[in-house]
Amino acid sequence: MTRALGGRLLIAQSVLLALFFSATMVALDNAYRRALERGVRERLAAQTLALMASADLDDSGHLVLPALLPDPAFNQTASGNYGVVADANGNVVWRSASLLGLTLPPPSAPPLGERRFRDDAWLGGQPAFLLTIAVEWEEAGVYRFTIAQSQASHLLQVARFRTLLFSWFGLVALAFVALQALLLRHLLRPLRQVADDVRAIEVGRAAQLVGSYPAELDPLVHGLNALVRNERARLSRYRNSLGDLAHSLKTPLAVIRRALEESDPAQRPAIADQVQRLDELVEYQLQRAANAGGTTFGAAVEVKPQAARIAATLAKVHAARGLGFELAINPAARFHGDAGDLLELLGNLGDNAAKHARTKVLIGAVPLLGASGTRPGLRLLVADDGPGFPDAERDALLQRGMRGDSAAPGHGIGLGIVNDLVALMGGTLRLGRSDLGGAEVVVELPPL
Amino acid sequence: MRLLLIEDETALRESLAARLVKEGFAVDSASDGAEGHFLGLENPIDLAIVDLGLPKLDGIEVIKRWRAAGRRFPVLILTARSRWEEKVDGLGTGADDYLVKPFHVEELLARINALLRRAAGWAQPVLRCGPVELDTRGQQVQVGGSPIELTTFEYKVLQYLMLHAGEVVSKTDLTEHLYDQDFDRDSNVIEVFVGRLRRKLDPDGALEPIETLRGRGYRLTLPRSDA
Repeated sequence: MTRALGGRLLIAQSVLLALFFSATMVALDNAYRRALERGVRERLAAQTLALMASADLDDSGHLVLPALLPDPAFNQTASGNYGVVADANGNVVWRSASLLGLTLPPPSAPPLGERRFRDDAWLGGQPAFLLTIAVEWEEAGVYRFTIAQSQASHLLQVARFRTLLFSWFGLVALAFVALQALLLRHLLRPLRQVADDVRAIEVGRAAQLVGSYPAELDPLVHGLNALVRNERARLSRYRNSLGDLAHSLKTPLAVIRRALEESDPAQRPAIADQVQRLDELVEYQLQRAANAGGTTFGAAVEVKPQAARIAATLAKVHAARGLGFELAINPAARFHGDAGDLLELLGNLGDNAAKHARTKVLIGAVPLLGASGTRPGLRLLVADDGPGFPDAERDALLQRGMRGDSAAPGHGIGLGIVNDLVALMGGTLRLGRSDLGGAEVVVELPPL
Repeated sequence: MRLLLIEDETALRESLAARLVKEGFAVDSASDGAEGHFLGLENPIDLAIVDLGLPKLDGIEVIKRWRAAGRRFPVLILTARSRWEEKVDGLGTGADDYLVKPFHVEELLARINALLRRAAGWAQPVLRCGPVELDTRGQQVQVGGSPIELTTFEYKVLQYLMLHAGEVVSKTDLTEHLYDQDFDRDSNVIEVFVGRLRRKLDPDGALEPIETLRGRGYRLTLPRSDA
């Protein structure tokens, strides 16, 4: 079985969401860091300019700077802000007071008038930003002004930003997935509804798919309904045409038999036998063809009322014998198939029992419960208090057209029809001795 | 006993009707449901034999309408459709027995007699009233154990009186139930037959089995004994 639609959609959506959120986070992180760095660069440039402004030439034409700058950050040890001024040869002419005990890596020499920014410098074991500007100081020559700044606060800011970004995006993503799941449940509900409804038809609780479904499912629902209707209509059409066929075949047979009864007695037995055989053949084949067997979309038939109908019919047919018909039908007993087939089962078995019974016939039915989620099966029992089955003939009785007792009226193919029908429905048929003393037939249709 | 036979297959209908008449029944026959329905409503029928596959009006529908109109005579269904569904439907509608085509005519006769007896409240095939015994299977009559010879029509009169033992049966009842629609009602032939029947059943005048109620009809006075 492939994974459920809902699960598949949820996984696909989550992967897409994760990709989208990751890309967004990377982009945001980059943009933020770039903006931050630009800020750093501008601040360093401003500080450099401020440093230049505080520089002056002494009488001998050398550049000098005051020991303490107006910006206190440069005067405090390890403040994170540092400044160095070197001449063209790289000799340091001035260090800020904050650089006490630390050495600034020798700055590279940028072309005159240009700035060189580095973010990979190390200062006292910490990453640092570095900005160097080379200027030509009137006739005093070229000087390189370098401002360094520890990256500690910068990194802290980036880390804070990232934490914030991750937690918010994580929350939003979770909310998204949860919402998505809810939405999917809602969107897929009609599909689950259809599945439930089809199951209801299968177990016979409903005859058609009713209720409103989304427009997209309309073709499916209509198709299924048409299928169910067709299956039922086809069966009854089939039955009717078989009935017509039976009528058109058997009336001539009746005429032939009547003519025969009036005819020359010498020829009678041979032709009568053939008529009988033809009749039984037609009867048997038509019966067999008309059996619906287990229909997937057959409505569940309540056994009790049908058994009552059969008992009433049999009581009428066998009225002269004054038989008692006893019903022991569990109200929950259901036949999953065509009502006509159930009548066929009960009618043939009940009629056989009535023909052989002395005083009474018992018809019983109980549901056979299977694993949960399956529809229950059915056990039918028909028993009488007659002489019972002769042991030797039990197997032969089930064969087509065999008669258990030629003296009993009827066509004698009833048990064969029942056997066929039960086999068609995947059930079993058992002949035995009943508690009443006579024959007992048990039909078991398994849970499905 | 007056029967109504509704069967659309002409050959079968005519041959069955001929046989039934030979057995001493008055037979009305119809070839379609509408005509059969009409005859069942209009004529004093004792039993109807109805084929289910009929033109114009379906057999089941015919029976349904008779029952709805209060007709209680027994109905025997003839059907080619031998599925129980149809038998149950037919008998549920108000029919009393069925016979699947093709059938032996003896089977049909046995069913007809059984239904007629049952309709009159007799359970056994042999009707007994006092010393008179009438076997519906062999159409034989005995008085005090010795068989007597009756003509078909005398037998029919006796059977009708015995089936309605203790009830007043008018001359009209007898003519209507023993003859079909073509019989001349003005004839006093009934009186002649009843007179002959009295002589045959009671040659020495000791039994007086049938009393005449002037202006009303006849009554079988012998007590019914079903044992």
